[in-house]
Amino acid sequence: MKQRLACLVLLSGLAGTAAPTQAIGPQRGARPAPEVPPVSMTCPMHPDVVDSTPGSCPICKMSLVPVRLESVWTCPVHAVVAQEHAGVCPIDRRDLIQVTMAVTFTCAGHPEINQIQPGTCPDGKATIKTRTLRPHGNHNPQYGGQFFMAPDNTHHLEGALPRARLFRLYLYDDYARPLPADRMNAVQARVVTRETFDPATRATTEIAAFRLRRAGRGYLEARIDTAALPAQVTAKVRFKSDAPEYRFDFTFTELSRRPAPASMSSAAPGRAPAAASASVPGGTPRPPAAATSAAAVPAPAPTAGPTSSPTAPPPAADPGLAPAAIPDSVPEILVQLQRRHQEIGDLVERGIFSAVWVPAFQARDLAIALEARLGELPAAAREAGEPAIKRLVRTAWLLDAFGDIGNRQQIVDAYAIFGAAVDEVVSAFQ
Amino acid sequence: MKPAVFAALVILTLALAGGRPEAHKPITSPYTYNEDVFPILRDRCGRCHAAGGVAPMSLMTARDAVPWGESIRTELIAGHMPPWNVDTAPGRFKNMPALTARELNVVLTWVTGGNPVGSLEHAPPPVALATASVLGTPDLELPLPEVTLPADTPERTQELSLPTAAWRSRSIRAVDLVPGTPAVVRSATIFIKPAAAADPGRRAMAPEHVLAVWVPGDDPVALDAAAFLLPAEAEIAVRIHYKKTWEYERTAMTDRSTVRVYFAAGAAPELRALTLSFIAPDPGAGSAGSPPVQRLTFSRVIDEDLRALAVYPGGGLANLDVDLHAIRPDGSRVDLIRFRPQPDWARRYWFDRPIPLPRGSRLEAVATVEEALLPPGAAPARRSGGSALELTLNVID
Repeated sequence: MKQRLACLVLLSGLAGTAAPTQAIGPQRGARPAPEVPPVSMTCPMHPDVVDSTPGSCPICKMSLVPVRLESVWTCPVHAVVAQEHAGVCPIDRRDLIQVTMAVTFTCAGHPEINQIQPGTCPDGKATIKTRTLRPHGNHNPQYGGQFFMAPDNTHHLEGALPRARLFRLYLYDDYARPLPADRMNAVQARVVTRETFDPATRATTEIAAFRLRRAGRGYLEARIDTAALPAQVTAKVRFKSDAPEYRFDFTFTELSRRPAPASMSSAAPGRAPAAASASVPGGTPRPPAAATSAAAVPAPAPTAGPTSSPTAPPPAADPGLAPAAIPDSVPEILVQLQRRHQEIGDLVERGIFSAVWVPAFQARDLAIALEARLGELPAAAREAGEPAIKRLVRTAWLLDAFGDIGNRQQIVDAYAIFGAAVDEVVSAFQ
Repeated sequence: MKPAVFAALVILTLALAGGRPEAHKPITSPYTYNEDVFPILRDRCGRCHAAGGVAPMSLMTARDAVPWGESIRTELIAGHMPPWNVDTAPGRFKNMPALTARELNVVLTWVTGGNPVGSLEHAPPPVALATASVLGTPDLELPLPEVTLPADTPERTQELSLPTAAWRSRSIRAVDLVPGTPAVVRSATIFIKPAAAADPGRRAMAPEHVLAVWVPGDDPVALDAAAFLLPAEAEIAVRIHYKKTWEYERTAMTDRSTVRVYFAAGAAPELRALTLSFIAPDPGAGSAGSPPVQRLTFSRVIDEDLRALAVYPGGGLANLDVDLHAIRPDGSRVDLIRFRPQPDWARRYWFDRPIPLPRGSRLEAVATVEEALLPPGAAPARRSGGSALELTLNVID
């Protein structure tokens, strides 16, 4: 989602404002680094763009800026820990994961000093090395497929159907760069085209599965038995032998075609080529990450009621970032809420998981508007509505998170809780 | 590229990106720490997430909170924090630390939207851990023996006896714990020792043996319509769960906590405990190879008029979804509590007002194992085995 966010920032003219660092401070007990990582060039708006030489961003044309990147080990959840070797998180005892962080140098008592060159502080002491979290950048498909992030928050992958009966799985690192060969070799993966799921036991039985093998740089592929479209296939991936197996549910409504490069005259700054080259009937740009099936992605439903949105986004901004106009009357809010609920259900049904966050966040905003109206209700209805609104907001965020990682069952489960909360909210206010 | 051109490019791009290109994260959150997030974190999280508190990190300044953004996100979306764990309307209970939906959204928007700090003029004042009692001056203050956790001991449960001479045969409206070293005191139970309390004949409707279920950040609740009655020969103990956070993992830590006792002014009905033991299904019921069906139920008709004052879970219910309600003789349903107890966060939930349960009401409870819906990165909850699969409902006549 960060990609989409970056786009709005640029468009709203905030690009020049200082972003706060996610500086994680001098490392506890860290020895002075024997060497400083080399300078790379990256885009201020697209951290996934990394080059060894200065130039401009291929996505938004901004000039690249220098950065020092270092591969370190950190806790899966607690990014405050960073060390140079694999190990166990001292906070929650989970295995450390390898991430890339930016290295800068600062001085004690001088947080304004934050530079990429080591040096000497005003008090004469050497600068202190700090590491900074880097956001996930590009969550856009590169080959016209469907893009997900792995639950380990590190790996990314893209499933594609370049030809009938051929499934490809592109594997990326945390910068959406092709996975290096040594890490590719450690991956065990298969693609499942048919399976059964028993809701009572929550057990899955595979009926047809095909081993994914390395076929080219950065991808695995397998011949599969499914030719008809739309095709639903599931990739089951273990990134190394001792890692958990993750599942990713892909839906293809058409064969995947690598999109043409974006033309800067028509593409919005910050939009990925994959997204910029596609359009949706009605002319509304679609979320960049949902590039699987251009014609299948709905434009967000027009908001009924007063369209009192004085801060309408610039024409090419992601529609999902536009705050949904909130109708004045409770019945109209409820109608809107149910419409979002249906939209999410439709997206889930069609496997367009990465677009789920748009109606989910609009429903969230509608629910928060209703929370302010709880005082108008009788006590019993308020007692029922209050926790349901909170559950709705929480599951809207959960749907956003699950939409990124593409596990159908998790999304379906979250959607069930979300739907029950919507029903409870509606009945409390009716 | 020539060095001069490169230098010019660096200067230009540094200016464009506000001088911190390497730390860029797009700011999309309209909420800032100083203006919007701090008041929420202070009021909802500051009892633990302040310097010296039991939580492993303070969240009371932007500098403290920003590195934990991703953890805050996963904990909030998973519903783990704040550890209130109740899905019933918050207004039903006293001392509710839960976030409203709007507050939840403000914090989540901030942690995912670039963590803007906001105006430095609005930088929040330092937050100190609260130690004053909301109940005023206690009638008794009983210092406990000192307990030291050696450097190599990360966790320990210690049972300590309390001197009781001064409070025998008294009516008590509240008992509270004040940790000496809040950073290591994780939870405590203050109770009448079983030897003195043994009363097998009245097991199902015994006097309340648990005087206090203490967790960090919880204010004591003083009884007004009831009291704890202490038998003359009572032996009273406090069981404290000590646990070091990673910050103190290899440091010896010493605690000397204090128990505060508040006497009731006059006579009041004795607080009783109604133990609701769940019935687990026959483990052989599931077909071979399938996971066991994990649904526990409880049902019981009460044979006298009662008023429910509070409820608390046994340890075995951790991570189960529990729904306790009553069907009154007229057929009306009263939802008492829907919650998901977490290990380490077993607390007593005091109803804001006593809930009348007329004679003939049927208490029903269902506990189900719901596969935790966890956001990416969140640690899965684990069942804690071996403890009682029961709920205790505190009632008075």
